[in-house]
Amino acid sequence: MTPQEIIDTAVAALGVESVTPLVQGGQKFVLRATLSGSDVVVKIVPLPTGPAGDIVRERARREVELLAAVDSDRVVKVLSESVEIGERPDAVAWVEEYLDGNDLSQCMATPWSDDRAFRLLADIARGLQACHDLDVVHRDLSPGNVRQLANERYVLMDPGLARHLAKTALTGTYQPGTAGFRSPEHVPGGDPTPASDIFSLGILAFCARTGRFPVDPSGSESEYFKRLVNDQVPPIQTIDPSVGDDLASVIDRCLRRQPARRYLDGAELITDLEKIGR
Amino acid sequence: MSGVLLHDGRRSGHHGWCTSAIAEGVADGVFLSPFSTPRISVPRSPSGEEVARSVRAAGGEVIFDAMTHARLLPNTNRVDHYDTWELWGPAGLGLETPNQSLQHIERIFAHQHALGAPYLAPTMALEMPQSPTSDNMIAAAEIARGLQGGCWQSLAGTRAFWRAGQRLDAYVGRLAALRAPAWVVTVINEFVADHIPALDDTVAFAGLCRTVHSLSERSRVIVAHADFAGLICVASGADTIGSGWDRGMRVFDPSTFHVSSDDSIRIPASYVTQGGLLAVLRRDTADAIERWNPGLALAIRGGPMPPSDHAERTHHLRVLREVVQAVNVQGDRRMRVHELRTRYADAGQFFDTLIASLPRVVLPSDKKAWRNNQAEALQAYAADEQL
Repeated sequence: MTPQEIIDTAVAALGVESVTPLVQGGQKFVLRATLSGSDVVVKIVPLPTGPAGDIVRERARREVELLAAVDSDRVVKVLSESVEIGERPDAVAWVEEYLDGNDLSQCMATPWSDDRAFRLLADIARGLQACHDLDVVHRDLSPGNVRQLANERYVLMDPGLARHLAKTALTGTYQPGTAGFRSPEHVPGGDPTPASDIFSLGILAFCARTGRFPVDPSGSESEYFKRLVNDQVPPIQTIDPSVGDDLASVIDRCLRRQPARRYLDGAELITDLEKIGR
Repeated sequence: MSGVLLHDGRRSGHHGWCTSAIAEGVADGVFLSPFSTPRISVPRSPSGEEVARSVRAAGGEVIFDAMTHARLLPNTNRVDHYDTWELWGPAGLGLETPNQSLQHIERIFAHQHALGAPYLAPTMALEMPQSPTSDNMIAAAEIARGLQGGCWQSLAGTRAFWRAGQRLDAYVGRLAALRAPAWVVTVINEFVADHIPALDDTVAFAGLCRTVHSLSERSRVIVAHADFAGLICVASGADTIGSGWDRGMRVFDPSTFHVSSDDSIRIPASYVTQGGLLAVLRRDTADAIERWNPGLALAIRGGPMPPSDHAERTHHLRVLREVVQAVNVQGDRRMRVHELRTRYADAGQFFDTLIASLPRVVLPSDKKAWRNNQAEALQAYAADEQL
């Protein structure tokens, strides 16, 4: 099927109207549309041929299944089942709620205030808690997977690489994550856990507040991995002394090299944030 | 209750000595082991229930450690008392399958409940942090947590396990997620030659300290079969050391669980604890130090020369417990490390004086085994932690 045929078939199968493209290319098509009068997003993932197609299809199915199981206003809501497009099939598609605002990647040009960084931490910790309560690890928490809404609240998106801790990984030896936002457990041979999501959230907050990566992802991948595994991130106040003590304490703990010394999951981070009135 | 816990043993009089030590305030409780104490009393061996009752009456803490990590060692066959506890179900020995684990843990918990002891989940002896065995251990721990949410957890590893660096840290992250309120941590020795601690593997013991540090951020940590070698763990966050009077109480000695042609109990009867050296030296060495300088000998021993085995048992526990408590009262980890560092520095000076003054009696190898190896492991841990 051509891309347009896939889109047309998906739109018909999902019963959406007033379709306009939001993002096209890469691994998926993202369309804005309406469903029963409400704004929604349609996601369509083309499937490559062969065994890789089975993996992509399963990953997409899992993303939809996971989003349907998670009950949190800090995680994007899925509004349909995943639908297979074509006989082969050629793609899978589903409907999610429409979120206004922008991806975090478009909001980090200048350093944030402590308050805004705390809002990011608190909102995404709640989203992670909803995943971690289901024994699910997001594994790819990065600016492209967090939405800043118009009201400056934050929502977790795209757990397409998430893994149920009790299920076998789909990805084989593939290491998930985005350069700059990986945890020490993302290094090949490692096994990301809920504490790894906390590390990645710490990186997001560190980057947002200082405009710098806590672990430099430049250079070769092996050098980056070596830094992740061996180096303790410096306290954030050594990078920017204007960061408040409370925020510094939370971010520093998220970024402890040893997972046992971080917040172990979203719930533990939320408990600490609530203790300091956040 | 922090301090010193006495490991179980099979010597005649063992349980009476335990209750005396607790009553005298030089020990804080006991580990009951199915290898040493039968479920049903037999001549000269009271039942677990009787021992628990008498220890508790003396004011001590009772922990029933099923010692699964010892039972599953390939050469373990001293099971006369062990088998009376009927700790395994129809699925057989091992924690490889959920059925085996469930049947075993249910039986352990039932005995612990009957003894009024905390629920302590078992472990295997781990050799690698990333291995099917270490995954099975976590699976068994999750079953235990499903049975008793607040259960304590055992962790036992060989030196290779504690030496595994970042892989160990990652595994400890998974362990911490179990949220056990207390951990009982053991260093598995493949072979024990004598009563002298073998801490020459600095990387492994620094890894042990790092692990104790991580676990103690949320939980109580008890270092089993540790004696003086466990002090570095107290500095890094443990609050209690497992010890005793025989070799099999002070270190994890696989021969304790094996019936062999040389079946005598390893009794360190001709030794005297030297508190200032954090060491246990031969009695003839202690006598030589006493003859050379009685005043300094008194200071180094930390008390009068124990005239009998009973007095040495009490002296040893009192000295050990005093150091554990002195570290435990420190406000934070930096101060804990500082306290022990100071004691190792003092021990180093005492050793140097003795080696210089009694060169054929106190040897540099004594200093290395009892003081230098421990101090180096502590320093390696502290340097990593910037303490």
